[in-house]
Amino acid sequence: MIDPFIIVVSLQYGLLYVLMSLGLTMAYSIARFANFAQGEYVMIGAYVAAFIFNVWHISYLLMIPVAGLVGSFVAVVSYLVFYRPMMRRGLSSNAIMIGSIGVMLIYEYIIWIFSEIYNNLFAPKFDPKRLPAAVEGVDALYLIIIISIASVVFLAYVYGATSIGRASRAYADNPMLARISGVSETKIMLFMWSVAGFLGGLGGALWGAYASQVTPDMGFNNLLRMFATTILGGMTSFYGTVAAGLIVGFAENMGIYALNQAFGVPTVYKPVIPFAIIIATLLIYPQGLGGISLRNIRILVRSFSTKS
Amino acid sequence: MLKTVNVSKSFGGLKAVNKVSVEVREGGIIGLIGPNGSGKTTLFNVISGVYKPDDGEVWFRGRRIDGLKPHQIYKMGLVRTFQIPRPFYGMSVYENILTAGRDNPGENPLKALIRKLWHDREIKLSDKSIEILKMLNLINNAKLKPYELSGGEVKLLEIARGLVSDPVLLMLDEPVAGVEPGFAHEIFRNIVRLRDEYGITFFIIEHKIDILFNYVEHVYVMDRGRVIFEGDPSSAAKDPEVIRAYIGGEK
Amino acid sequence: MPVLEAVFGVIYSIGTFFVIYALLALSLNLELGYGGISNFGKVAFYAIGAFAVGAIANRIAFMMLGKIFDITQTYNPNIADPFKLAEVNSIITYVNLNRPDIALPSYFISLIAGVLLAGLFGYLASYPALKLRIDYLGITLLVFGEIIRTIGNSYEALVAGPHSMAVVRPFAWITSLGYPAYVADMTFFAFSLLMLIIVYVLLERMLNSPFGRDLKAMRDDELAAMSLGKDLAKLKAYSMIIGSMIAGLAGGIYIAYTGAISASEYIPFITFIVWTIVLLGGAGNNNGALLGALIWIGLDRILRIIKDAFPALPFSVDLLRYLLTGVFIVLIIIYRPAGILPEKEIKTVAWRRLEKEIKAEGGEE
Repeated sequence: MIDPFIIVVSLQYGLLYVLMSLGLTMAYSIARFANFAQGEYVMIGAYVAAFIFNVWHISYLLMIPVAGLVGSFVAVVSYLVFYRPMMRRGLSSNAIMIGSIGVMLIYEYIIWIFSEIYNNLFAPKFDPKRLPAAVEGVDALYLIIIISIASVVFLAYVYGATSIGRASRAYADNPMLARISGVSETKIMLFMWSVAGFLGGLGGALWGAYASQVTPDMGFNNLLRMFATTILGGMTSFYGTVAAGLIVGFAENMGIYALNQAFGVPTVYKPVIPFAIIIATLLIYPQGLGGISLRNIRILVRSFSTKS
Repeated sequence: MLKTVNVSKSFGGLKAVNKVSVEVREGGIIGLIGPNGSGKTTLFNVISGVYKPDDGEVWFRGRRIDGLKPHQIYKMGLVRTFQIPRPFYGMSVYENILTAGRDNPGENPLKALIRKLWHDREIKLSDKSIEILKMLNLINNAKLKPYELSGGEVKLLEIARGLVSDPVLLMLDEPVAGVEPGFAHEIFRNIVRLRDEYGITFFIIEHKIDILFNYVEHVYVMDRGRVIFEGDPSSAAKDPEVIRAYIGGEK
Repeated sequence: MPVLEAVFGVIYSIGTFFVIYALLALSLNLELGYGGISNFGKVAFYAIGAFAVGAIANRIAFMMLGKIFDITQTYNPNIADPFKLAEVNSIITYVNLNRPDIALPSYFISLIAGVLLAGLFGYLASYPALKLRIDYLGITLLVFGEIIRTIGNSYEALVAGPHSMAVVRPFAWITSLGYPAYVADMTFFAFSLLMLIIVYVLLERMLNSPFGRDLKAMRDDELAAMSLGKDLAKLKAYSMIIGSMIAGLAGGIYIAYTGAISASEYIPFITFIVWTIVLLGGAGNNNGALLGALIWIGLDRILRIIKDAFPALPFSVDLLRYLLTGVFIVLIIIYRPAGILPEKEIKTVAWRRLEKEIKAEGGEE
């Protein structure tokens, strides 16, 4: 009945979404704005990995952590050059979000222009649409599973047990109080951005391995699915994002498969599923998965019965 | 005119307002006092529709208003001001006050296109606004933006908006905090005059009890969410519960 | 005279694009600058206007010719049939050049329908605008725009999806009467300019009023506005309906200008362009919207000149437009979020009363 291939695909997408979106959740929870450039950390990591692999033929396996480091670097630079000045000017969360759209455009098109220049001036061309399918014989699936689970566990440890992790959580709860208790805001930010970018870059390189292609617009293309994950997860909830990533991956792939088989819905409508998740979550239960608690469910049920 | 019956409101586990019943008779100037955190502003919020009470009822002019939205309650004639002023920072003082005026046909976008439809109302509104500006000594600052005013002046702007809105009942939340005493007395004298001339009822939260008690005929005292005393001001000043609430509460 | 032709050609192309972007900017300025509504889905309402003209005008034209409008495979309305599409394109071209009796009513009826349809969707969008926080609202409307684009692209029976389909143009037939091409072009430009002037005048009138004050009050402090009797649901609905209608109008004009429709064009980047224009020119000021549009058009022209002057560049100059937009956004947000022109004060007859009063006071002292 259900093609096992679909389950594998869903799992891969789901885990990739988790990796890519954790950075978005962290940024919202600690820096308090929706970072549109998160998709670009993914894309740049993927691009650099693919580029080095394609042009200098260094092992792709090695490129995966390199992609993470590149993503980390880009995220930290973005903070220092763009976001910190914005935050220092006391701009609202919405204004910084708009600024992040500008940052997103800058990164996407710098890479695009660079890749066109390279292909026009050098040979052999870097054709990112034709990356080798398997990664050194190891199936991309196992890589994705291992790396994403390891990352989630690592992140849980870092933010749960280390001192900077605890300080970051305190800062996320109440920035003013944390600052007064002597926590260094800059350290927390630098740490958060480097981790967010690292995870994004990892996700990008793995995506490249799985999809066998990287494009400059893969950042924005994935961004809305990353938003679906973070929003469904509850914008600031770590475990919520992890669960939501898998849900979005499965809903998207198994969902369109089911709709296609049952109602003949063409597969081109696949992107609408994450869109629907975003709208439904924000309008019906904006706290997302992270906001699930007995009390909230009671309040939700009550709001249906008493019209206010 | 205004009556709350056993109104309660909790936040998280904290009962901010606990079975509070108050009554404000028509034409009265009623006070509401209590130490910080006693729930006075929360009660105002419940009455004006910002919060829905968990329990109890709120009645205004014979109609039940708990659960209605703030703008609906405003339309019935109940207007409140905020303890920490909430001016519209993008507009001048004068426009802030004009905005508070009610029933202006120009508020409808289609009618706004035809100036004749709202010209008269706008003139009347502007005359009243200017009169209030003069009364509160704000006329020279009328063109300034709220962030260019001093703290006390912003408070006065808050009151001005309440006054221009033709209220039946005006609920003021700490109207003279940050205002120097001589002028505070003048404001209260104006409040009495407005009640005498226009029949506006007032329900006033205030910390400066020494000033307030000269002008209210009835006062409610709240402490930790409950009403612990109601009566005339001089009895309130002597009541042991009230004294304990204040001495015990404030360190 | 070739010089005259060239001048008219430039006026037509630059001028019409200015009108289109000015309309979009005015529409966003109403929603954002006055109403405080963060509409990141502006392109959706632009697209709805465009789709309406594309889908409806062609169908009306066919109906009037007694033909059946069919561009998709017989059993699959999701995929266009290239032969049927080519036939439709040639019939529409024929109508455009030779049948003003069909072209004019088809276009204008569908334009009105598009404006109303966009307004209807604007009304629907005001519900999330009421319920959601400002940054969540932005994401929701952005997603809404992407849904519209996906449907337009995937359900090809509507407007042939990403394939280019010819659409009815209202004034192309003038050329068949023997006049040089620029006469038809300038007629269309005059029409679009007239639309812009009407919208601008109506907006200024409508916003320099108690309604404008109420919008700004809602923008500045929703709680205080509510407590002073402002019905936020109604105000947001008014903003979104009127703003979306203007955006739909811009879409209908754009379609007639290009003469063809392709659903893949309506990408979020268009929304970002409009935001850049409004923020750059100064939110809360309709003249700022016009100024921003002018600057944008100027920039676009410069890029085009660079493209023609340096054909040997190793990359596509079109990409620069996107890059520069990003740079602009970042610079504006960091250095001048209020934009070039300051917010326009609302000065009704009440203002003159105040001035008189202050002068009188000054005289007495």
